[in-house]
Amino acid sequence: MKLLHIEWLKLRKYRAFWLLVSLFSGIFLLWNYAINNSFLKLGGGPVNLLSNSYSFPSVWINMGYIYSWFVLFLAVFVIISVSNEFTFRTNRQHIIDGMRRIDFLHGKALLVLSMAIGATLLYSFSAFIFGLLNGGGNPIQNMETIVYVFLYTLNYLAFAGLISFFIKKSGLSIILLLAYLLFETIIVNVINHYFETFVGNLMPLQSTDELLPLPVMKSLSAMTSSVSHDSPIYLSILFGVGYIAIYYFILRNKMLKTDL
Amino acid sequence: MSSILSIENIKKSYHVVQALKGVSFEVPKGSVFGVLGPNGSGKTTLLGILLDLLKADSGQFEWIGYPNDFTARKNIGSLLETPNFYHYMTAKDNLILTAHIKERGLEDVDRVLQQVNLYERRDSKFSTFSLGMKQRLAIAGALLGKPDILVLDEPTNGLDPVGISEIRDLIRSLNQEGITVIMASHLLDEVEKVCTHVAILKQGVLLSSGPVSHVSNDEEWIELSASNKQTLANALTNNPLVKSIRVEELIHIVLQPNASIEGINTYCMQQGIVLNHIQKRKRSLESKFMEMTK
Repeated sequence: MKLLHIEWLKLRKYRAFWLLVSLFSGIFLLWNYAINNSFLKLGGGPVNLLSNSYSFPSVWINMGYIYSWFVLFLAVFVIISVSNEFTFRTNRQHIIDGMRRIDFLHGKALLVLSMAIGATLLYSFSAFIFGLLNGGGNPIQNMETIVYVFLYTLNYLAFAGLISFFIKKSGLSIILLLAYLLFETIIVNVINHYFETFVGNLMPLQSTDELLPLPVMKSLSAMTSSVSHDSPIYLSILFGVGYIAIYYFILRNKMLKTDL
Repeated sequence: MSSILSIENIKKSYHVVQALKGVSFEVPKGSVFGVLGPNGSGKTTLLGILLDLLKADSGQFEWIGYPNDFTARKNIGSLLETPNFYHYMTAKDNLILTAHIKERGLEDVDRVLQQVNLYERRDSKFSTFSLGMKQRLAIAGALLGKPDILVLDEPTNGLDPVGISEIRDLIRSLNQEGITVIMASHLLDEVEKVCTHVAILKQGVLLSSGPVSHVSNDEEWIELSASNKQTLANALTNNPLVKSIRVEELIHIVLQPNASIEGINTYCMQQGIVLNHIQKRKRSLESKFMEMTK
């Protein structure tokens, strides 16, 4: 908690933090409001594939999919937070002042974990409220999506942190993250298409992305494709957790052994 | 005098460049210990290893009196390279953060800001500070929690003459309170005024270590000049009274143990050389340093 308090002291007066968190929260809520009230549609004319999507139990899954697009705001902040330490050389100063190298990493890890928890709480609260407003069926059904949202967020933010620990420059790290997202999409589709399998879905970010699909798109895909590219959920969870562990051990090794 | 730091055979390379080639010395407790050397001698590398920024290839060091290196570093105030703070945070907020990291000194923030004359600017963002102010804030950070040891790399960097004098006085007063100061500096005149002990490095090798008076050897030298400097230089070169000679704007000689300044003056008169300048000087650390590191 001491490490988290130290991270908080850095954030509490940092304009960029409040801006990105506000953008994430505000636009996420507005977007869902717009979908709920059919200001935003998927389809043309009177057709709206997203209608009735925010009632129980489908609200958990549908809002989970929408949520997945907004995590980028938080990932950008994680990149800025880590890159700042290298830009200001405060990573060196912390060690000079007596912080253990591993504690420096753990401070950032706790920041990522806290942001993942906070974002998941926002998602959970929003989905529950929208579900209550729209009524529908069993509110408990599909509620495991909350866990998927948390794992997705943690994986995404940890990956962003990994990039910025190595690149050390915020602009380049953000570009690299975006480039990787596009690159991974290509690789996933190439593997799945040419090998007629779902193994491509087990790539680092795709593994947890599979946990937050848009059901209506999956239905369309199932209708139009003869081969299922869906990976089993347990595999997505296993790989997601595994990747997060790999990121941690890579960074742990880097922090303990390399010159700062 | 007991030691507070023991360094044993530390080696460090950056690819093909060997920055430290087996450096060993001890820092006496309560001393002001200068680490001197020309650029590339390994001073900053050595301080970086002591503060865990760099990993030595081999060798070891020990902060004596502390259970481990991690605990020792919490009792060390350091100023290494450029001042490293968060640009968007105020001076006070930066020091509060530093105090939390050190786990000490939170009650000291206002005191150290006053000590370095930054109290009036405590609520200004670091990004608005001049270089001198940044340096002073870094010194304030090093002083938080009344450390047992100060490790300073070029502490007067960026300061005007008044600031340099203030740092010199600060180091002296802190040392009188019992704080051990380890200081790397290029300002040899300042080191000679402040330091009690010194280690001289050149290209990663320790050339000399010990009390300043021992290293500078208390040798005296004579400054001479005449209207015909070349004639004077010729007369003094290979002269049995002269141990060494250096010809610059003035001629500098070190006398043999059995020679005297009167003897030199008499010899020159006998040679028909009229001196227009003769001055006895104590061998400074700077001249010894220049001789050792050339």
